[in-house]
Amino acid sequence: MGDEVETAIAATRAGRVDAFDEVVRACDAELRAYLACRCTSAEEVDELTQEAFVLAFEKLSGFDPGRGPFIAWLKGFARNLVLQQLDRRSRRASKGPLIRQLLVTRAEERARSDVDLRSALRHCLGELPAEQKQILGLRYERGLRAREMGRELGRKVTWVTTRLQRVRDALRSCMQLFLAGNR
Amino acid sequence: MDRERFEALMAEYLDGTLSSPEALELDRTLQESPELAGRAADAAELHRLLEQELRGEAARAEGVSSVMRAVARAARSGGADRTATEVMTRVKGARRAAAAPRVARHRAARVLAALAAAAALVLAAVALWRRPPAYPAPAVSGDVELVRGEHVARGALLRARGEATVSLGGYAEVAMEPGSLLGIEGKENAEQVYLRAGTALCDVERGGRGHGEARSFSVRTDAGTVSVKGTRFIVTILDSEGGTQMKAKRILVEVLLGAVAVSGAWGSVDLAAGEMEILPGGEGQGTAVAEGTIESGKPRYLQKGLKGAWKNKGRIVGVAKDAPPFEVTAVSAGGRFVEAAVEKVKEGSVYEVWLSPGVY
Repeated sequence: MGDEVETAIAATRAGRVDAFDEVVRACDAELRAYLACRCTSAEEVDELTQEAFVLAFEKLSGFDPGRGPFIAWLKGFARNLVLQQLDRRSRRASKGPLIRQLLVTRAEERARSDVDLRSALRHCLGELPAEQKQILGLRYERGLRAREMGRELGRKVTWVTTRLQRVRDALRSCMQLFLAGNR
Repeated sequence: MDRERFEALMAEYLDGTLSSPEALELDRTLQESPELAGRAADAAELHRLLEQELRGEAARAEGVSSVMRAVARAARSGGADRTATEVMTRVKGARRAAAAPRVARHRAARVLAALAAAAALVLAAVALWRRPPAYPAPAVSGDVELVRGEHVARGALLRARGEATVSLGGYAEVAMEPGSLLGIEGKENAEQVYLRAGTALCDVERGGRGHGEARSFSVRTDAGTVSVKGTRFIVTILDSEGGTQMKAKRILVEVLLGAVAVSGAWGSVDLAAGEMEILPGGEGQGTAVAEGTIESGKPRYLQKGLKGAWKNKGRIVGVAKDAPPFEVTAVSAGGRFVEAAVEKVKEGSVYEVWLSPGVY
């Protein structure tokens, strides 16, 4: 990522807006993984990803490669966007779903690189049996909801939700082992 | 909560299909159980990671394209500002030249005139280039019936026969659920709808200014007004239950993105993304008092004046006299209070409170 991104950043600073496309392509997946651990919906991940990139583009003159990689600088914008939303929530902490707060708190406390999480996830996806891969494929690659999956598979919704939960549990266990082994 | 119920609620939550009562149920469960809260956070985190990791190539490409479109808009905006700044710098330079020593005045005046003319031309070009298009008129797509008005415009009242979407000002979209009743109000850059019945999902473009004015959007209801500057939220009118009309409507506001301010006769409240709230529609009192012994399996009237009775399994049945929100307090003869949340309360209807059998 490093050299190509720096070259693209230099070109963008020189006035070539289209060069920023290279920056977005190089950083998009990692930024989304970072936000995925802190957001409560795919739509929110999309929105904050876009906002973080636009902020980074507008403030590109302030990026100093000597102080760290671009992706870390970019995540700083994303983190602030997440915290701004959380701050609005915390003013009324007693109300509303807790999952967002739980996610953000956990992500901040963990302080583990999201790159590690993605590596663990990729490794563990490769270890899954074919049937579990099929379930995940229907849910995440094709974007089917539990009810739609039930219709497609000729199963009850509860069967689908239980299976999905089992696959997630298996993935979670595998990722914990993988991360523990890589410490 | 048992495991199956928790998994079902989490599946609905992750699918984005959790109903409002279910969301409240899940929230209460997470508050009460650290173990389930941890599992919920695990599931949500992994779900979002999987969404990002396994989403198709087309979605990835669209994500990058979407970001680049936003970057290009920012670049165009910045570019225009830079052009104007450069022009103003030249004009200021010309003014400084005008203040130069007398010997250079004639030459400076010619330079000033030339620069001013050039600046005027460039400013005019920039103004023309930046002139916004005509303000969009309200537009509707989907299956709607015009209840009031001859065409879709401010003042019109629409009933959604099927799914329908109202576009306002080019920055707000209101998706109406079938059966919803919506009036178009407001003005340019301050769009407003009047939700009289049903549910509206509102998508408002974040930030931005139209024609130099900050844009706003609000949903007016009989129970209060929801005002925003950029967010996605749902407003539902709770005006009946079990087919019975309530005298004072309540509103259910669910905020999906951004933040909203809700205000009414009862006061005001801010709601942020992920929050939902049922807000009161009137100033009704909210307390009913009963006293006595709860006897499982033996329905028994307590006090005729209260029109209430203890029934099986400690259920209080009574008639709500005032507008919700509502709390019922069971009071023992000895003065010990037992409070219980009340569900399914509406003006003039039967309400139920479930308490454990025992003496209170």
